[in-house]
Amino acid sequence: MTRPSPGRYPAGVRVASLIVVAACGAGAPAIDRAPPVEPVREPALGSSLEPALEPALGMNDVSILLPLPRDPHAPVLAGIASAGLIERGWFDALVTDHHDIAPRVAAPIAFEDFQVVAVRFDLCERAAVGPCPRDVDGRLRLVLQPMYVRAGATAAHDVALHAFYPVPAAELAGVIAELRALARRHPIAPDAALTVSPAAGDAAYLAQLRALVMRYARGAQLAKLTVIGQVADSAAFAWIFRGVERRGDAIVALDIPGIPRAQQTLQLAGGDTVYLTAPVVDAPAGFALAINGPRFAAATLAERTGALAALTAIQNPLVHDTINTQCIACHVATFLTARRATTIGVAPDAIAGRFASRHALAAHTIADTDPRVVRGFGWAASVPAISQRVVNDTAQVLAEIEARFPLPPR
Amino acid sequence: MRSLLRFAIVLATCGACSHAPTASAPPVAPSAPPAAASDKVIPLAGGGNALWWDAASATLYLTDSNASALIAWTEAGGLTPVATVPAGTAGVSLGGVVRRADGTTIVANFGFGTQGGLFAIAADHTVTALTGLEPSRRRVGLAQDGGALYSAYFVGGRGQASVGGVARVTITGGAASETEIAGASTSAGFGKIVGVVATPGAVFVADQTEKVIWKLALPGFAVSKLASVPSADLLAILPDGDLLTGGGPAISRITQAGVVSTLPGAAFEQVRGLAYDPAGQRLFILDHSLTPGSPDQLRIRPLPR
Repeated sequence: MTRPSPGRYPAGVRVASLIVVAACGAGAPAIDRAPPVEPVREPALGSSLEPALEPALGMNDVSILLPLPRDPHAPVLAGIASAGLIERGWFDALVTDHHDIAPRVAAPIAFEDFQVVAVRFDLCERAAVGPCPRDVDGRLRLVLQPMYVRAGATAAHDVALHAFYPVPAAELAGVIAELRALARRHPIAPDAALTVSPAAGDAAYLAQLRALVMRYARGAQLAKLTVIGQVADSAAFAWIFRGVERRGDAIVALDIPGIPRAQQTLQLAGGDTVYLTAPVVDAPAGFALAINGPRFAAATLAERTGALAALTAIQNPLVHDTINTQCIACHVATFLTARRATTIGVAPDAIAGRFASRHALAAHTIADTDPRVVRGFGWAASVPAISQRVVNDTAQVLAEIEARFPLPPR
Repeated sequence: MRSLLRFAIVLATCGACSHAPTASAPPVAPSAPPAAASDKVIPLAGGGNALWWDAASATLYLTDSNASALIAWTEAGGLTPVATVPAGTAGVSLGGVVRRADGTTIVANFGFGTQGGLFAIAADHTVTALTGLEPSRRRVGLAQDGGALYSAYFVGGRGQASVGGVARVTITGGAASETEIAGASTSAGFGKIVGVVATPGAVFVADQTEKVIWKLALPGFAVSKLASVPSADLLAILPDGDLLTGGGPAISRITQAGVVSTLPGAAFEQVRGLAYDPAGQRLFILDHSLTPGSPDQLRIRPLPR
């Protein structure tokens, strides 16, 4: 299955693209104006008579990691406040009022400093493990981080918000069609691995994506907001995980599965990586062993194999999801799987229970190699971080899209 | 019709284009802030913390919390491992280093509230975990003056108030005993005590919570405030008696009269350990990376006496 070439746009889409580029260019300050976009090529002779071919969506079409902005004050897609993505009351309830999250470099951060760094589309809120039921609302998730300048380049602070918005069930088919239209604009090999969006350098692509995102990402529609951020007063690398959600007219703290608390903390200690976690539950069984290097080293082979199986299960969307998984698990599993598997001489690919998909499941980023990275889909300073969990989730979303919204026969 | 609808939606959104430019930068490898032109920069494989300059052997000692090891650095030999310290299940975070007259090196173990203690590394590199010390004390700084050894620590933290202290430590074989000279037992009012240096006339401690350098006068250990600083971390002392501390992107210099100034030079990410080589007139700085993907650095900066 191949995507149509860029020249195979339906005529209406071509016209819309050209007008959008012109309109945006006129409004952008000269210093921030996007690089010139190549004019859309005219289709080859005769191709205008061909029906528009719908492309199969790939990993980078439903999970979109944006590049860092050149100017930290000029978001690539949207800023939290200027775009009205999140009402300040939500942010205050989640972050400000607690006075415990702050970056450890550069100046203190404010609500207005957050900007969208990643976008994820899903067919449901994943309230149960397994494929999404039909006739439920889809989900749009935005990842937002504040920026600063480090060594002359834009970098992202180690604080991130995840904002979740419903996509009405009746509109899901239309959203999928729009994602396919976006994919058609920037064809990427269907088997390409998840990475920084190859399409996001194109102003027209971004404008169309922005339009789609802004239709649903409105402050009044926000359903859930979570944060992972560095502990303000910690000399060591340490993070706080918590969230809030809308219940009726109230904003209430999210419960963490298996833990009678609404917050988890994680501190990185040295040695062969020890994640000190409070509170923590040994779920799935073996996880508590996996997060402690000295204990893992002293364990029996069976225990260590069990710990690896726990890490693998955590990353399998057909077995674990937010409904039954403690916050920290998905955010440390990528590094720990690579590290612990190496310790006992096992290839991560060979661990039983590993999620399988026909989509590209490779995810080799700093999240594999640096225990200081807990970002699942965002930026660690100026380096992209993509967790295996997000890769697997994305592949699962694609599989479900293909099943529910199949491409028309060729 | 569908194309027209899309056109209308996209066009409407373009009202936001003026503040939503699309310029973007490609990913770049992380790099630390530029060092001063005269700095010698040595990237470290692990997580560094405290430093100790041994003038007799012209050797710098530092701890590596990733490898759980004591590392030595010399001008000729660079970095070489000295000894590996047993990794506790609470995690490794090695703190202060002092070199005793008998050739033993003492290393503080932070212990994360459950395994705080000291390791003794003999001249033959044999490592002993000293017994008899309070494990709940999160130990960072170590100092000595003559035969007197001092351990700085705090309890609490991680959401609870930190209560700091400093104790005089006596070592006999593999056992140690400690007597708090200032802290909770003396109602000193210390917060997160991190750094310590000792002189014949006083012991000085750095309080990271209060951002204060405290002076404990000898004899008697009467506590007084020497100075407030922008940030506080491990302490070092210069030949003229001035103190140095970091904790942030700059190094503060504090005179014995409590006057604070900032050492000139390029900024750091987070200054931790400091040590001075009087003969070489150079300052060793442990620049701790706060950025994933970027290593800690040992920096060597000329600093005339």
